[in-house]
Amino acid sequence: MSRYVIKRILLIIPVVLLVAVVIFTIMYFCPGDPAVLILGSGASAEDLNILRESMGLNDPFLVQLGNYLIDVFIHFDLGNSYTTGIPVVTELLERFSKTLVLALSAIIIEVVVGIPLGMMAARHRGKWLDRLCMVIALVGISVPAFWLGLQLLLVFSLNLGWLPAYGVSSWQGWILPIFVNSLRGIATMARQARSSMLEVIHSDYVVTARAKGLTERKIMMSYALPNALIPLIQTMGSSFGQALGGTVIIENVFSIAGIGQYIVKGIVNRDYAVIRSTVIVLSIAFSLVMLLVDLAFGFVDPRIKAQYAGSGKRLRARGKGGRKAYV
Amino acid sequence: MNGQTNGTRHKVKKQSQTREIMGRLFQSKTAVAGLIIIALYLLVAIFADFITPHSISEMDLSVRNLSPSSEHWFGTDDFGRDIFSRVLYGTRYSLGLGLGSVGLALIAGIILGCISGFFGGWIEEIILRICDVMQAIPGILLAIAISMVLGSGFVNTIIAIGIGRIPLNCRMVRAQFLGQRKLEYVEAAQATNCPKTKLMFIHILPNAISPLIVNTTMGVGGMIMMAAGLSFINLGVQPPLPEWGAMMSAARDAIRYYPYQLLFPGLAMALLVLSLNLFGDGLRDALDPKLKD
Repeated sequence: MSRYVIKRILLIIPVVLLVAVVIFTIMYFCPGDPAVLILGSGASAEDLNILRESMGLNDPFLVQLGNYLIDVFIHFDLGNSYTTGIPVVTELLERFSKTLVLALSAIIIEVVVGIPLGMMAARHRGKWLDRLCMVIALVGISVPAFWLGLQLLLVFSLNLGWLPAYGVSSWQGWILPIFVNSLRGIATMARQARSSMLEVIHSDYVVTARAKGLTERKIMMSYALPNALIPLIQTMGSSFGQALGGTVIIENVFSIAGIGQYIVKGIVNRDYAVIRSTVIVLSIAFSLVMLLVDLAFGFVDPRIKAQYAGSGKRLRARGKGGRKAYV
Repeated sequence: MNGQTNGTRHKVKKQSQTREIMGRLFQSKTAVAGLIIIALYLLVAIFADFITPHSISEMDLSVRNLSPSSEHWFGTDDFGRDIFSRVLYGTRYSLGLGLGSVGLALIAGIILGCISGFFGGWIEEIILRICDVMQAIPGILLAIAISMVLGSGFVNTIIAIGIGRIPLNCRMVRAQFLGQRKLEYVEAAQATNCPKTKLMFIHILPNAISPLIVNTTMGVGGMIMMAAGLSFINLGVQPPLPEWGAMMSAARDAIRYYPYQLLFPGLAMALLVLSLNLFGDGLRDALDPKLKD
């Protein structure tokens, strides 16, 4: 197992580096001159040139890229905002916790709500309960998040006055943003859980378990679910990306001072330094979560772990067959 | 999958596979309902110029912010423009954005996937590593970065949101190709000296494409929502164009007083995305009947 973990961790390093390279390269072609953005259009040509020189903007592309990568990965310096001059790192650290709460709670809720919903639908396949669950899930993936957010804000905050309309100074303020941000994930998870449960529910080992007279609950939880888990973990990883990206819009709707709001501010001010660095940081966070997902695969599915083990181990793992449901 | 169902039936006359799939598709009421609604949206998008009761751009400040009435079904916006007309016209933009971006991703993904799945070796390795990197960036963030460079606008938004989907399609096609590469018909085609491009696109691709079709159908809705999200954060398609996301973004400030300005574009979008998903579900079940029972 340790070999698998180390291999996966080593494999993530070039990906993270290349993410930074790709984003830097894309943003390098942004129209407009950062020096003009910082000093304003009234600045003299001489001042602009001095600033460009000090920022290294006159260097060739590869030198700029190299310096940026060294700054980011060795000095942990993400540069300064063009408009406020505040280091991006400072802002990100300040805003990090709120975005993390939004994204993580979305994942937790989608697992806690989505999987049981999908399992219930699979168990009552074709009956009204199944239909109800799937209709809810279908609506969940079809409604634009910011529109739903604004409608809920209108009803619960502006019309009924039950919840605060602005910010997250009290815990009530979190209810709507977390709900809206997790809805899509819940729906995706429920659909995925239903279809992967349906795939295993007719397997021989489930039939055997039922023939042995085990309770339905036991069959579902200890026989069907573990075997249906792989696609679910995968869905979890990718919907963390969704939830993380979703915060950009949700934070804007609910006026939460998180990283997403920072990005939108950067867009409005055309503050490329902010957007570049923030996108890189969020992508790295996402990559790390996907790494965790991959590691989780190794724990859940012995076949995957075996791929990374030596050839002798691979044979043994295949011989043993893995989980108890296979035995 | 489909081969098995054909085999077990023992029919003398073999039915065309496409017809069989269509038959299964049209048995599903929800899929048909989805298809009909999508067709209606398509008609509205195509004939938007003729069916809008009012001008979409002419401002008339004497009828600002009217509530829905028989004259203005969805009311009027801050500039006195008829919202019903703008929602109808917005179909063209939103559907265009959705179809355009998945189309872009489909073409690029198929080409890259075919190349990597067919040739293998270092080409495959390079393409897959690029996919890894692209997939490490959450979709909306990549779209934001690209939109910042390209600027707002219809075609630019298609590119910005479409690029993020390419790796997914590429991987899918490649995985299918790997399964097909060793099959007999490929060997036979190779033995008859079939040109590589013909083998890839005429022989293997049709056998490899069904998961991609389902995925693409389901993807249109997501792309429409992402495009609207971009408009909402000042990128993507911008006002005064009547794209739904842009309309909702503009209606946001007046939400307390004129909530219907936000309501209708959002409902139009939700219904379209819902229909696309219903149709996509039906298509998946039709192509892969194993999942159904």
